[in-house]
Amino acid sequence: MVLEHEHLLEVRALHTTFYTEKGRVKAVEDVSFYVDRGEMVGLVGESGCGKSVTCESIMQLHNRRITEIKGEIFFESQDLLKLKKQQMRNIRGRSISMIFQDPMSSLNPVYTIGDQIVEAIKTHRKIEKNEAMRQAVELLSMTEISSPEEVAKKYPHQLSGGMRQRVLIAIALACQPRLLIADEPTTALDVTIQSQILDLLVQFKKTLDMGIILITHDLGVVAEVCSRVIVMYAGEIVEEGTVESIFTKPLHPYTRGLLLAMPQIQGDRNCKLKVIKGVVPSLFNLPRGCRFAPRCDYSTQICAEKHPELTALDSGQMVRCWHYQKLLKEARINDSICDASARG
Amino acid sequence: MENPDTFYDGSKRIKSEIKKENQRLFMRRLLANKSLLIGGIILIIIGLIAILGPSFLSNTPYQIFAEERLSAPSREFIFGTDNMGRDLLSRVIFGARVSLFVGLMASGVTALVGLMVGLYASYYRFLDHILMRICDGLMAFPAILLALAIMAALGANALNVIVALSIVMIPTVARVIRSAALVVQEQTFIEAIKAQGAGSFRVIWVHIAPNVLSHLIIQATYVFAISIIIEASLSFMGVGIPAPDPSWGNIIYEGKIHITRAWWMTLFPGAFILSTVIALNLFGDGLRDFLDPYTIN
Repeated sequence: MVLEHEHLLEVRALHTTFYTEKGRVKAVEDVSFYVDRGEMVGLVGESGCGKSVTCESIMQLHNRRITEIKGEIFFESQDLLKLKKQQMRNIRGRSISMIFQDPMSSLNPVYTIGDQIVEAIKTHRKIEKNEAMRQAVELLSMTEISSPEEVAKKYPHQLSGGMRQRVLIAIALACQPRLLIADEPTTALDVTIQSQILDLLVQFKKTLDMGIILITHDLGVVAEVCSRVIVMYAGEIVEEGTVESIFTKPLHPYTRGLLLAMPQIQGDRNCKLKVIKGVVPSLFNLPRGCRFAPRCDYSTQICAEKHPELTALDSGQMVRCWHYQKLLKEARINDSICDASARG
Repeated sequence: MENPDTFYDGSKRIKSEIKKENQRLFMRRLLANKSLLIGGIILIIIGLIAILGPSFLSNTPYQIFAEERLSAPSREFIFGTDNMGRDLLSRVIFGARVSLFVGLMASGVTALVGLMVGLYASYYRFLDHILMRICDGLMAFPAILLALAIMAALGANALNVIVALSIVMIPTVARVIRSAALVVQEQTFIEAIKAQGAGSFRVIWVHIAPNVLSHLIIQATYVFAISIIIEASLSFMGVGIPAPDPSWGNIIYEGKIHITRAWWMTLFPGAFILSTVIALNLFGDGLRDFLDPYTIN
């Protein structure tokens, strides 16, 4: 394997382990992926599958004492895991920014919006307070917030959820990062605001040539804005590919299940949504073989016994399943949706 | 319609009216809070007596009127005189200065050190174990006993009283601040600030500290009240403020043996201690309700 460092971010064999009082938890295991400039990559999976942990590992926001991060995280050709504390701090906020899930608690309640953006600017650049405030207002207006000068003087509790998320985006963009990690940025917002925020992200991706990792459990969002999708399950990647390939021919039963669980606007309204039975296995007690096997319709003897490897297909799609060829043979997912649910 | 400004975006006149309305609401909340109001008024009165009182006095607290020893309250000596023939009014007022000064300093030092200990204990796990075990150790002793032991070791003077009181009180404040800070740290904005590249010093002092400030202010008022009681107790036991300087505690101490003949030596300083401590506690309770946004109705 030739090392290619031309990607903006390349994560190789990332293992994140927490040492908790209950024991060792392997929250993320053998995760590898890359993000290019000007590209939005979706990271999908249900709660607790390691999406957020993966991104927090990139930023190294976990308590170092109880967390072990192994592997390599190349960002612009330097391994973030080899950096010193101070060097990593210079990366955070300047080169890589993060937007958090809950806009309600992601702002410090005791400072005004303007002050908080100014702080984000002044953390990495030595400029005058007045100039920083001017830039803060400019950033706010970039996020299409109405009357940015007024908003800058307000406290977080005076703003709505959508406005706060715009403020958080402004803070994240304060130093024009090359990579933006958006951890479920639209989950706490209603649908109309959701699409506005997504439009903003798409727009900034283009104008600033940023790479964006979009963590979400909403496949609709992914289909709309991402170019590639990574599907995670129980701490590992189960499928990866372009949006088109994942949505038209998902090769992992889990991805398939997620798609079938999604309501379709076109097509037969009477066909029922299909649920994935069961819950994500506890990370303390993972199945020996394939982690999805207990919930999988396709599982056979081998699934319970041997852990499948991530297999790359000619098309570039990657899948971690013993039976992907069986799924490959099946027709396009859209055609088979109603058949599948009729069967189930 | 996600901009609350749509309502406010009228003329400047409307804006100033909103400002006035907010001020009215603030005043109404202040006035509705009886304990804060009463406690505050009593504290202001006692404070004014301590600061301005001496300039209205005709006698110094050390001046001895030998023939007038243990005389009952009269027009000349409003609070009577003590066993040495000193004007009790003057001694109680100067005693207020000493007691309030000691209490204020003790609560100030306690608040500052308690804030530091609490914040760092909440932020660094290894410091947490060390600092909290020290606090446990200090809290295992009854406050008075510990203060007494420290005074015995250091010697009786006003500075040492402040030191002893601070050592006794810091653990309580540190624990309150630690638990409040732990709650603040669980909020996403702390993680968000770290993700912006902020160092631990900034996270602790710029972002966590202001969010625990209300807890600190409330604790400081309680510490102030307890400091006055402990200082009085220490002086009463003869290890506090040394004679001839007056403090509420040592005036009561001197009056102890004359209590059957000269009740005023015990009553007046006692009444001052009582009213100050009650006022401080009322004020602290009121402040807690006032600063806690969830009690607004």
